[in-house]
Amino acid sequence: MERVQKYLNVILNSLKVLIPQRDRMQLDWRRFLGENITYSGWIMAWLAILTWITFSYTTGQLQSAPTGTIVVLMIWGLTVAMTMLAELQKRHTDWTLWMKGNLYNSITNVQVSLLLVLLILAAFRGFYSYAYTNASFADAVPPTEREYETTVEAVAEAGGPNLSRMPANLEFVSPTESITNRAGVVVRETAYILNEDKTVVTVENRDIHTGATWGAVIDNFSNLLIFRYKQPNLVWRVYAVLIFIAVFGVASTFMYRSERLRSSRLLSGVSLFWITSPIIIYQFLLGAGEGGAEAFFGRVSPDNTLGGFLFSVILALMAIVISFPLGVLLALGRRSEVRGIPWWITYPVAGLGMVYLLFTNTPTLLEGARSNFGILLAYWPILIPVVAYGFQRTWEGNVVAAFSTIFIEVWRGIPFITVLFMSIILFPIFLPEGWEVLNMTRVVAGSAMFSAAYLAENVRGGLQAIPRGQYEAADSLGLSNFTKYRLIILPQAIRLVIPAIVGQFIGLFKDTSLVYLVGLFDLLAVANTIASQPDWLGIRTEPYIFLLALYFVCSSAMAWYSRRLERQLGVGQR
Amino acid sequence: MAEAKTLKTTGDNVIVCNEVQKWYGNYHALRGVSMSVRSGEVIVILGPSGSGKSTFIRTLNRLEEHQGGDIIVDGITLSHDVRNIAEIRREVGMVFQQFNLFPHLTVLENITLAPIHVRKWSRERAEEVAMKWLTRVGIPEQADKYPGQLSGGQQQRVAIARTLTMEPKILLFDEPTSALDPEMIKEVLDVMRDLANSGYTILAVTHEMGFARTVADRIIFMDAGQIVEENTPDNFFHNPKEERTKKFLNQILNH
Ligand SMILES: Nc1ncnc2c1ncn2[C@@H]1O[C@H](COP(=O)(O)OP(=O)(O)O)[C@@H](O)[C@H]1O
Ligand SMILES: [Mg+2]
Repeated sequence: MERVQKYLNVILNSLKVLIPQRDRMQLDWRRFLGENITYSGWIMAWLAILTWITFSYTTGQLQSAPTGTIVVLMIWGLTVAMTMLAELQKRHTDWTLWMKGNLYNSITNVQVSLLLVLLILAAFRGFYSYAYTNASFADAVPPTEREYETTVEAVAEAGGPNLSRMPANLEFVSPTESITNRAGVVVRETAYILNEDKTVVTVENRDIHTGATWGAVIDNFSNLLIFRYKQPNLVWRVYAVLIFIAVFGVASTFMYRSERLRSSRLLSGVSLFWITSPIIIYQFLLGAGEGGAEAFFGRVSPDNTLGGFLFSVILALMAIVISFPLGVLLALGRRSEVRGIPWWITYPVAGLGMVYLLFTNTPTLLEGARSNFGILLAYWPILIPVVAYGFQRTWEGNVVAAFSTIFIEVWRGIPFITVLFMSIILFPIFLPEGWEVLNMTRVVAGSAMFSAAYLAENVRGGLQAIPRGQYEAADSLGLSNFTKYRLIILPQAIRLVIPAIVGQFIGLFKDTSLVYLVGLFDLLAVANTIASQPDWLGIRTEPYIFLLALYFVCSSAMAWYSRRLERQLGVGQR
Repeated sequence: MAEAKTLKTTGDNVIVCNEVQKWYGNYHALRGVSMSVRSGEVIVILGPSGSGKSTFIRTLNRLEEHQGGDIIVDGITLSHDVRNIAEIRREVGMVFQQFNLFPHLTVLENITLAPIHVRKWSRERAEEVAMKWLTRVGIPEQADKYPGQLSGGQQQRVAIARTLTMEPKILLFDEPTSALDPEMIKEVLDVMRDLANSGYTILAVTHEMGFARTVADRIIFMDAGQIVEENTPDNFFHNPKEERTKKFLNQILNH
């Protein structure tokens, strides 16, 4: 009620403003023109062009979509007039002030505001007619029905038109067989063609809609989401997981809110479970025991059953939960200040190693060398002291920092698609005979390492922002290094970089679609198979729109959750 | 009060420093500092800015490593041995100029964290002792707030309660009132005075001359990384031995 009253007041006030009060209206036209238009030739040219664009676009829209355009124009005209009057009389309401600041703060913006609203409206109208008005939601026409031959009598008997007097070879489109979509638009018709001697009728069922063919997505819905997991012995596992997540999710929300359970062991257990849940859920989906997909809970291989959205989600979540601890460790490792190996150990060891290899490895290499370059390569042990020198100079013998830094920089230096190619195509070549590692495992490992390297840099940024006093306070209280990092430093550092980390995880989730390029069956790969199904030949747009919506919803959900988390954890930081 | 006095005269040395040296790179920050502190003694360290006061008391609980000389705290010699360091830190509490409370934990969590994880007390016991100390420093009602919601004086009192809940024998204060607004200085000094009268061994770096004069058993004056003068408060302020002490007193008392 209060709101309505407020809005009414706003409108009434605006109307009051509309009534001219001459003594208050003070406009120096010459000054207005000088300040806004005529002060520069470029501005005048630009305004002329913009006005022309606005005018021609608006008149075009007035013809193609009169009602909407007129409404928009009226609202625009009214609000512009309100704002201008308020400005002239220096009597702004909240509304006019907002419009002045955000929509109409210059002649350019007055026009661009109108243009943008009309453009958005046109885009929306276009999408609406594509996705709804002219769309077909029908299942695929069974191939046998799509085009078949019958007789004139059979058509008449089945309730069709009487074709006996129709000329041969002429197409007759029957309205009685037409099918309309949800918007009432005819999307399918039946055509009858008589042959030369008028004995056989060819019947054709044709889709004639001009919009989207949602049947392709509807028909493949379970394919896109869970791929082979729609099999009876597998699908119940998916449902079980969903029900479990729902029930246990609600239960743990209550536990987290409970005052009594605050920082109890039970709650730590629940948190630990949620953190490791992607791996547990993955193992549950794969099942256990004999029989594979033929058995109720048989163990199946992820490589030929897991696919679609389920695959993408599991892959991303597993990569995330594995990369998180790894990334944190790498960040700590890169900053570690453990006592390094002293130079008087590194240099002699490197020297001896060089000499040893020069005497054992170089001669064999020299025998096999077929070019000057090969001969040069045979003396590679000479590089060992060089590397040792670099290691001492850069890291002062600190192995942990050296390893972390090199690991991070190497993984950050490789494009993600290369990581995938290496893990799927190159990696098996290096495996010993008879060893096999699942594709799924390899992709998860590759993605996790890749993600960990970036995460480490994010976390390191957070660590750097923690003041020295926090370390000193923890030290002076006698906390062990482990406790200090676990309870004081990391919680604060990670909180600082939550937005960056979630952004990175969103990126990882979207990037998993690249596995399509190395032949795994993620959401994108399944969507691409639709175009080669006989019923939906060549249909790609609709599945892609579905993908887009799905990825958008998931990514937005993650971003929303991160903002909420930030706010929750921000308690006391004010 | 009387009890505390007897402690001071008969107490053993709880801190012994012998020729302590400290370099920051090429900068010689401590140039052979020797002194000892008896149990229950209250010592105030004075000196111009940059003279090495903070550096010195931070070597006592190994926030800074010393490179020469010996430091023996509570009978334990400070060395690289991690166990010795941990043991000493359990007996030595420190209060900082910038409070250094943990901003992501409530006041109560700030205080109970170390007792639970270092002393291995139960949560109940830790909270009980924490509340006892919060009451003693006068802010029991702030237990569930976050540090960011408290005033500077209150934060420093929480920091003191956090240190004391660990039941240390020795307290180090590094300019505990320097970051406070004038009206909050008194509430912190009152707490410190109360502690001094309760028999704690205290080493305090401070610029509060009133506190030094009335509470200290001994004043140590440092300059350029060395101890220039050790004296009783009376003699130090009215009858200083060294020229440099006189100059320093002139500067701070006639500003
Ligand atoms: N971490 C450090 N690195 C380099 N020099 C330092 C560091 N800490 C202190 N110093 C130097 O050591 C000297 C003594 O500092 P400090 O003990 O903080 O003095 P005070 O507390 O008496 O003002 C100063 O000159 C200061 O610049
Ligand atoms: Mg200082």
